[in-house]
This record gives sequence, structure tokens and C-alpha cells, in this order.
Amino acid sequence: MSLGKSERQVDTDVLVIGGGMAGLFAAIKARDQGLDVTLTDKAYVGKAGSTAYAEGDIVFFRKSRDNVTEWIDHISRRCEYLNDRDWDEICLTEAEDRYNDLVSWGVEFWEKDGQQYWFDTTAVGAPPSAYKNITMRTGKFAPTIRKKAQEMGVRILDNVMMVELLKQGEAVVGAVGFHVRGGGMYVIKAGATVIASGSATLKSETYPTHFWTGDGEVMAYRAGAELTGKEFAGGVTRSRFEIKRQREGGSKDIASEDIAEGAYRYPYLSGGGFSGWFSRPTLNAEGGPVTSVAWDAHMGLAPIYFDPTEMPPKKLEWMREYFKRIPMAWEDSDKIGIDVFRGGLIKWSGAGAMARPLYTGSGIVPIDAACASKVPGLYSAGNACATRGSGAMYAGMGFAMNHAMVTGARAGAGAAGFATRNMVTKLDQAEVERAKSFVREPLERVGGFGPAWVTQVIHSITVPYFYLLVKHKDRLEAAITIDQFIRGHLVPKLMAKDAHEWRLAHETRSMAMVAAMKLRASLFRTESRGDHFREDFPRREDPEWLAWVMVRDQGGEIDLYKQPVPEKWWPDLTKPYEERYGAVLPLEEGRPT
Amino acid sequence: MAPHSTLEELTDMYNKAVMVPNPQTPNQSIVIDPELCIGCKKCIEACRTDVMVPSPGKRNPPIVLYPDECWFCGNCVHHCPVPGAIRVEYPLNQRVGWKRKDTGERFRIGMKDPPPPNTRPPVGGSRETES
Repeated sequence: MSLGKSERQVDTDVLVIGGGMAGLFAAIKARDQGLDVTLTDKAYVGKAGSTAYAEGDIVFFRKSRDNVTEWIDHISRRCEYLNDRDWDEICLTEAEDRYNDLVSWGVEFWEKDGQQYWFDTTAVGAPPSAYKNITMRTGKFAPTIRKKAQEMGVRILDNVMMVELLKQGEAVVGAVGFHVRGGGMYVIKAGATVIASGSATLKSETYPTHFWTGDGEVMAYRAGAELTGKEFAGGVTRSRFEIKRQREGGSKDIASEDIAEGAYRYPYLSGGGFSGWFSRPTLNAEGGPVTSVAWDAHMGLAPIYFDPTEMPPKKLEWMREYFKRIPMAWEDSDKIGIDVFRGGLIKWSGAGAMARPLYTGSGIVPIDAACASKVPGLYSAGNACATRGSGAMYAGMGFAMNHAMVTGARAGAGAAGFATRNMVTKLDQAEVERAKSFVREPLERVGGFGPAWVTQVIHSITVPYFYLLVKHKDRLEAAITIDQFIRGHLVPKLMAKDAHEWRLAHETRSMAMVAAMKLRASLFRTESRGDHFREDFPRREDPEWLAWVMVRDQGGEIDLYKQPVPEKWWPDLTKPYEERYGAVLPLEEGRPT
Repeated sequence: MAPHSTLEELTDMYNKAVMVPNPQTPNQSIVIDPELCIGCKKCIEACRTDVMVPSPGKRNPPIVLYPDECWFCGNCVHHCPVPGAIRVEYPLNQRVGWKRKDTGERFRIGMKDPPPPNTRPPVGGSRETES
């Protein structure tokens, strides 16, 4: 079999791209309607994707016990009023139904002393009433759901990467891709398509979401869908970042911590988040530490460590308990004799923070409660779907998983409904040829640029903290100049010598587009909010930036526009700024020196 | 020689050829114990970035074909049914750590003001005065 020569044609009602939690829910719910369903993933359905890494935690709202307004008010404060409260309500109130689905499919939940294990978020700074999570058995739950999908008759195609959507008039009628190991082409005709392929990172050293190269959202963008949330980044700390850097010899990513020698220890202050100055403890807003850590690094205080021994005893106990359930979490540290709970130091990584997208807040914009995009026949779910359940900052542990289940189920049902109403009889052959030649492009080049090298060039304008964490107009404009060269000159000459490089070439193409959107959205938002910080605009600007930045294609150019947040969701503007926003941004007056 | 017009020839050759695994070395990122591995290929399924491919022949250990794609996520170890058959060697493991005898503080290379390295002189030398 030669690369890109053999071809398999699949005729299906609903095509689901991405086989994590959202994709599996979408496939099962579409199959429930009696339709023919095909589920593809560039790795292995049920084991791939970020689902295994969500570590089984799901935020769990019990209708009989919890107060939905109270929870959503908390999300609004934390996410700095850019959350979509309607979607928050949908995701929370449907949590119990999705949990019941999981139980009926045979998913096991973690138990402690014969009881289901409840994750007590009050230990990590949430108010007593807010956010209760429930935990599935790590590593076991997703394969169980895969088995359920198989039993129901969902056609599962593992290791098949979808690259380009097929269009007929305005509507999406399937997709073209290839087998990432065998190299055969796949042409899939579908009545409706659900993109559930996760969000977009830049293969930086980050939370293990390096397979999220934005393939799904970038192909949706090319097909005419609108995206949002690209200016925000999320932050996370893990010693694994350091491992990746060690292996790369430190040359690949320039993280904040590499700027200067000398350890700077963050004090742990109870009542707030991880750190000291960035949070006004009285508001219990748990401000994100991402910007403040980056700023301290910018000021020459890196590398920055987090010392768990300085945590309050209750939280320390919680962390021990929590990480015991995740076998691989601290193994790397354990192996070299560092017990993080007894005086080990965890390094904060600026690079890890900046390339991680904002879960649930960035991706394809849904236009209705069935997760339909602007393009007929195209739906999205999970982290590919920007319901904006989290606004300018991630709402908390377990929200992405809850969001994946709820949007997955809704997108699956929505796509099934669309496919029933709109039958695709025949594919337009010219369109199929166009898509196939787009997919094959990297193979047909005689010479060109290797995808691994182009990825490094993309990193050079995105990963350093001064482009995407501590931002400034001058630097963003400089990066955009290089981005234009990358997409204009390097990307069209991406080449692939084998099936593996073929995959990398398309991933790199997607990442170049993601980087371009991130830089432009960051330049467009002339204020600071949540995980978006501008040195030249260091404050939130209410009410003009109580708005989302939407990204769309206009004649081949990236076009940005502002969509205001409904006024009923605004904070009380009569209150002083300090009472609206709990997190202190660098350069703000409230910041102690 | 025509450069990449031979792509299809190369591909054909690739398809006809048999992969010869290179010998495992202690510093490899993914280390598979051929004695323990039962060749179930669950690790190949679990890998999201094509690090491993199935080896020719039944019940053979997988071949680590693209080690540079490994991000040390540990998913392969997580799904392995035989403890110890596959392990991830973090480069961090090759770093030296040491502990102050009096306070028990741990240090690694790169941390500020580490304790001095071992001051014991070579065999036969005289012991220096410690300050």
C-alpha cells in the first residue's frame, strides 16, 4: 500500500471526529436515535486524548442539594464575567443525567471505605457550598465507554486523522483524512459531523495535551465556523514540564524559569489560591496564578517554586489523597527521591501555562443549545466547543469533563436530528478531489520544510512568556510579522516523507493557524482580564470589554470582532473595581511591593 | 539520482522490509523488558503520538520507532497488564540529588547554594580541613 494511494469510502449518517469523553458521548447519543454512526480518532478511541488525563474528576451538581445560582455566581466572579451563564446552567443541571448514563454503561466510580469518593473542593479554596466532584477510576472509564459504543454498533476507526471537511453548498457533508500508520486515505460522507477533537495547544511542554493541535477547530474555521477565546491561556503546575525541557536540552522552549538563576519560593497563603499577592482573599475569587508567576519571572525572580509543605494541613492531606489515585502523577519526582509532600519543590512553568488553552472557553462557537456551529451540518463538543462555560479563566477541576459529557450528548442528539432531516445523496466529485489534494499536499512535494522544524519556528513566536503571558503591542506585532511569513511561506512548503510525518505536517499546519489566531486575538483585546495580561493595558475595562473576541475567516484573512456579553450578566458596575475583581493583576495598585 | 520522486519506491521498499529493532539502552525513554512483555500491544493502543509500532511476528514486544515523539505521559505504563514490562525513563532520573546531613535538606543541580560536592580526597591523599 502506497501512501495516500489506497482509499476507503465510508457512508454514514453521523461522523464524530475525536474519541474522548465528548466524542464517545456524541457517538452513543446519535446511535441511540437509530442512525449509522462513525467515530474516528487520530490515536485510539477510549485511550487517547485528554480524557484519560482528566483523571476522572467530574464536577457534580445534584439538583436536590445544590443551588444553581450560587454556583454560577461563583463561576462568574472567578471567570471575570465572560462565562455564558445559560451554558453553565445547562452543564450543571444535566450533570446528574450524564452521571446516570455512565453508571448504566458500567463505569466504576472511585470508592473510599465502601462509599463513593467525593472530592472536597473546599480544601482547595472554593466556598463551602460550591463545586463537588465525583471521581471515576482513572484509565478504566474511557475503555468501558468505548466498549459500550462498540456494543451499540458505532463504527470505530482508530488511528484515522480527519484533515479537511467536505462541503456541499453551505453545509458540511463529511470529511477526508488518512490512516496515520498505514497511510491509506479515508473519504467519509456524513449527514452531519461532530468535531470533538479537543482544543488547541502548540506542542509546548505543557499539561499532557500535546496531541491537541487544533486540527478540529482549524478545519471548522476553514469551513466557515467562528471561533472564540483564543487570547486566553490556562495555567497548571507539574514537574513533568521540567522533564520535557531536560530532554530537549532546554533549547526548545524558553520558559520564564530559565531566565535567571536562584530560587524564589512562593509562600502559600491560606484562603486564596496558590500565591500571595495576586488574590484579594476577602473576595474568595481564587485568582489565577498564571499571570502573576509570569510577571514575577519577568521581574527577574525566576525560577519560581511552589512548596507544598507550606500549604495548610487540610489541603496537604487532600493532595496526598488525591494524588494517590493517580498512579503516574508524581512518579517522576518519587524516582529521584523527592517526596513533594515532604519538602520537595515543584517548579512553576511559564511555558506550560501559556500554551494550554482555556478549557471550555476557546474553540468553535455553538449557535444553539444543540452545539450546532454557524455552518449547517457541523456540530462541536467537548473542549473543541466554546460554550464559554468558563469565561476568562478556567472555572475549576472537573468542569471540562462535565462540559464534555453534556456537550457531547447534546451535539450527538443535535447532529442526529440534522442528519435525519437532511439526507446527503451524493458527494460532489470536484469537492472530494479538492479535499483529497489538500490532504495529500505534504506528500507530493519534492522538497520543502520538515514539520518538526516548522513547529520549532512556531514555538519561537508563541512559547516565550513575553508573547503570550506578559503581552505588549510591540511584541505581538513583531510576532505577527513572523507568523505571516510562517503561514505564507513555510506552511505551504511543509513536506512529509512517511505516514508519521504526514500526520505531523497537518498538525503543524493547524498549529500555525492557532498561533496566528492567538496572537491576533491578544492584540485585539486592549485590556487585561483573567489569563490575558497586557503590559500596555493592565486593567479590566468595564463595560467595553465585557465582550468576547470572535475569530472568523473573511476571504482568506483572519477577521476579529467583538461580541458583547449580555448586560444582565455584567458585574455590578456601581461597585468599586476592587470589589468586582478578586484577582490582582501586575501593575495594579493593590499589588504589594 | 532523482531525489524524492522515489517516494513510492521507498514506500514499497518500506512495506516489503522487516523492521529490525535497535538494541535497548539504559537511557532510552521507553524501556521494554522482552522477558516480561507478552506482546499484547496495549501500550501501542494507549500511545497518542505513535511512539511505538507493532513488531513483526506474534507476541513480540513493540518497536519504539519514534522515541522523539514521547512526552512521558505514562499512558503506556498505565495500560500495561504486566508490572515492570514497560517503563518510562524520565531524564530527570539521571540527575544527581543530595541531602545535607545535619538539616536533611535536599538539593539538586541548579539550586542555589548547594552543599559542596564530596570532599573526600582520592585514595592515598591527605584529608583537607573542612571549613
